[in-house]
Amino acid sequence: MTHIMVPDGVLAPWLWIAGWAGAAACLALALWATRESDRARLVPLAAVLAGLMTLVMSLEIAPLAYEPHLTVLTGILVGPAYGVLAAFVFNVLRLLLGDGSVTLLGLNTLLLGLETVLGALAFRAAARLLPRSPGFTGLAAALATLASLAASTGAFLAVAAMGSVPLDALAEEGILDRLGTASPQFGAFAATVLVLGLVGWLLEAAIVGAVVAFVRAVRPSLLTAARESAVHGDPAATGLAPLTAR
Amino acid sequence: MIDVLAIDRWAGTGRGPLHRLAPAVKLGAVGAIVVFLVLVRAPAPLAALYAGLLLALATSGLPAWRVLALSLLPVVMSAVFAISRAGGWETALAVILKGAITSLTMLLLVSTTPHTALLRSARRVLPGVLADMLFLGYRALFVLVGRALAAREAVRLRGTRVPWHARLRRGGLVGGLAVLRATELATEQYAALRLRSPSSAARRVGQSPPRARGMKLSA
Repeated sequence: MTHIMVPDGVLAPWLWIAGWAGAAACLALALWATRESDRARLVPLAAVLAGLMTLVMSLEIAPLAYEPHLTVLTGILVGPAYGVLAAFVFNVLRLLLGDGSVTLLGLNTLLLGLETVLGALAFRAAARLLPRSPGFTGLAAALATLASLAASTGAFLAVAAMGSVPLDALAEEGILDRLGTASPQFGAFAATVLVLGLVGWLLEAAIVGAVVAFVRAVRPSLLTAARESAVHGDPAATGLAPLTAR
Repeated sequence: MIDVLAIDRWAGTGRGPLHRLAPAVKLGAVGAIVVFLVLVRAPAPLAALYAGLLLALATSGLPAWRVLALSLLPVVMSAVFAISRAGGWETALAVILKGAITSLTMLLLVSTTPHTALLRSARRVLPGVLADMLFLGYRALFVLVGRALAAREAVRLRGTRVPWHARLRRGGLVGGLAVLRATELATEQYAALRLRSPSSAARRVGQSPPRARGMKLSA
């Protein structure tokens, strides 16, 4: 839902250049964070989830103009660092399907990366509070999806607000005065996004909850793969286990 | 839904003038168009560029109407954005034209260039892990589409109507199974990639690649 579907050359250059810089920094941090992880296991999983996001994104719920992404599912299954990498790969895959714009690759990576990171963290928090069963794990995933999508939609609207105001105007007057719903056009846009988005969030939360409940029932190790990998590292990298042993 | 299979087929089997152009030339043209979109705000030059792209589409040998229809899907969101902005009809028209140009440019690129060439170009500029993920993610698209179509067929053959919660559970099963199966295949493929790559294999055991140590690759 929260990727920006605006063509090249519409948003102010300072905004998308800042997006590229921020995304490059986040990707570098994510690559650093995954250097000791079990890449043989998590790279293919993150790649498949990026592919899944690309496919699901193309199934637009037409009456709502809502595109589900399953970014939170990605965050839950591979953790925050691989989630950011998967968000970038997803955006490149979108470009390879003729959807999306080159200049907004950075901003969209940041927004969707935020969604995966928040989703992963919210799921861990919710799962700790709820009983350990497939049903409750699915409920935790659904709640994490709602929270993450609400937060990232807020970030999306902030970017949209900034994108409609030139930087010199922001610098002259107070930033807060110029953002938000001061402009009636932007207010209408934000209200539409939030109302339609809420229905979409509920649908996406139900889908993510159902998939996580299924995974918890048949392959619970998949839900802890990212954390276990962060603790124990990559057995192949340390020479402890051959690749074919997994 | 974006027809992934059709785009891949057009890119791999087409024989039009755009297909014959070198990928580097097409990537350069895409870069030039992006710069043009960033710099130009007037509708007239944007309309001229869009007309040029339509001409390229008409002579490309691609199914023009299908590609055009695909390219117009993201333009709807551009139109919503254009309406939400102040600035008059010229600004709105420029935003919509930029959306149409962005979408058609990328579609012309990916429909006339085999994905292997595009992924090879990406590998030159991306870190190894991201390039591997991009390759595996692209391959996973087709596995996931195949699994989803098979699952849809199975659900259709069962035929009975079930309550919404049962449908949700069934949807979770279909989605979960598709992810698990695609992950198994991607894991095998990635393991093969790592074993076949001398540099990454050497990295795993903390040694330099065989060529760097003066060994023959066939040894």
